Amino acid sequence: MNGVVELIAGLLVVSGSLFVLAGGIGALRMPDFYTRIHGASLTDSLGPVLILGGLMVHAGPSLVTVKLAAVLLFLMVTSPTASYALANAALLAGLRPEGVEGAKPAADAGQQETSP
Amino acid sequence: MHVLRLGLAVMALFLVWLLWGGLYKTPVLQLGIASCCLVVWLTHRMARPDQETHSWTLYYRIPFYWLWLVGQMVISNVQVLRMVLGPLSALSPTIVEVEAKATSKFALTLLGNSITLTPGTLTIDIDGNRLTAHCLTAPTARDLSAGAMIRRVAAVDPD
Amino acid sequence: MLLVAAIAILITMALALARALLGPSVYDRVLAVNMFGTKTVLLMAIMAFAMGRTDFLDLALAYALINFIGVLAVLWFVQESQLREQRRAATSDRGPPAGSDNE
Repeated sequence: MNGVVELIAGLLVVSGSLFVLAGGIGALRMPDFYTRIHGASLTDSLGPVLILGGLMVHAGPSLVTVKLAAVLLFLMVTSPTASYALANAALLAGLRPEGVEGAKPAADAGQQETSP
Repeated sequence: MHVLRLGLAVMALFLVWLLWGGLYKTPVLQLGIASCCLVVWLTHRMARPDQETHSWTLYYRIPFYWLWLVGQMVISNVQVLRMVLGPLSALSPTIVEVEAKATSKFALTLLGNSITLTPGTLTIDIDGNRLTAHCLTAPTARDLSAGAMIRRVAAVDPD
Repeated sequence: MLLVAAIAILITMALALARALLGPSVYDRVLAVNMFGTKTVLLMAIMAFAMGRTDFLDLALAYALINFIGVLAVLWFVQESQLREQRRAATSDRGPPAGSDNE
C-alpha cells in the first residue's frame, strides 16, 4: 500500500517536472517575447500543480500538506498576475507581437507619437 | 460591524498561523496573536477596503470552478507541450478581444488570471470589461472567443 | 524519483538563465528571472522532501511571495526609467530647456 502511494507521488512529480522542462525549452526556443511568455506559462500552470500535488500525496494528511497547498495557492495567484504585469508593461512600452493575425490592440498604436 | 470584520480577520489569520506553525506553547501562541493583530492593523491602515460585496455562495462555487480550470489546464498544457517541442511553423499568434460578462473587479481578475493560467492564451491588456488576449494559435483564439470560460466566470460571480 | 525531478528543474533553471543572458529585450530578461524564481520555489519544495527537512517549505512559501514582489518592483523600475528616457528625448528635441534635470 505504502509503495503504491510512493509510486503515484513519484509519477506525479516526474510528469510535472517534464512539463517544467518543456516550458524551459519553450522559453528558450520561441521566436518572440509574447510567445516566450506562453512557453514560460507552461512551467507556471500544470508543472507546479503536478509537482506540489505529488508531494502532497507523498506527505499524506498532515501540516506539511497544508503548507504545500498554501505554496500552490500563492503560485497560482501570483504567477499569472506577474505574467500579466510583464506582458502589459511590454505592450505599453510599444513592444509589438510578431506575426500577429487579427486586430491590433489599441494600446500600442501611436505609442511613439503621443509623447508631449 | 466594522470591529466584527476586523475581529474575524484576526481569527482567520490566527487559524492559518496555527496550521503553519505546528509549535504550540503559550509564549509562541501569544506572539502569534500579537502578530495577527499587527498585520490586521497594518492592512487596515494601508488599504482602503474595496466597496464590492460578494455573496457567500462564492466560496463553494470557486472550488468547482478550480476543478474545471484544472481540466482545461491539462488539455491546453498538452497542446502547448506539443507545440513547443514541434516545428515553430505551426504557430499562428493571434490577438483577440473578448468581453467579460461579469464586471466586478473580482470576476475580471479571475477571468484574466484564468486566461493567463491556461497556456496558449495570455491576457495582455484589460480595459474596462474588455480583455485583450494573445493566443499562440488561431484555434485557441477561437476557443477563447467561443466564451466557455467567460460564461463560467460569470456564473461564479454574477453581478 | 524526486532526484530526477530536481535535475529536470535544475536544467530548466539553466535554460531560464540562458534566456536571461540572451535577452534581447529587458522584458525577456525579467521573464527569465521570474521563471527562475518560481522554479526555485519548486526546487525548494522537492529538496525539502528529498532531504527530509520539511521546514524548507516555509522558505519556499516566503520565496514565492518575495519573487512576485521582486518582479513587480523590477517592472516598475523599468517602466519608470523608460518614461524618464521618453521625457528626456521629448525635451531634447525642442532644444535644451532650462532646468530639465530637476524634474
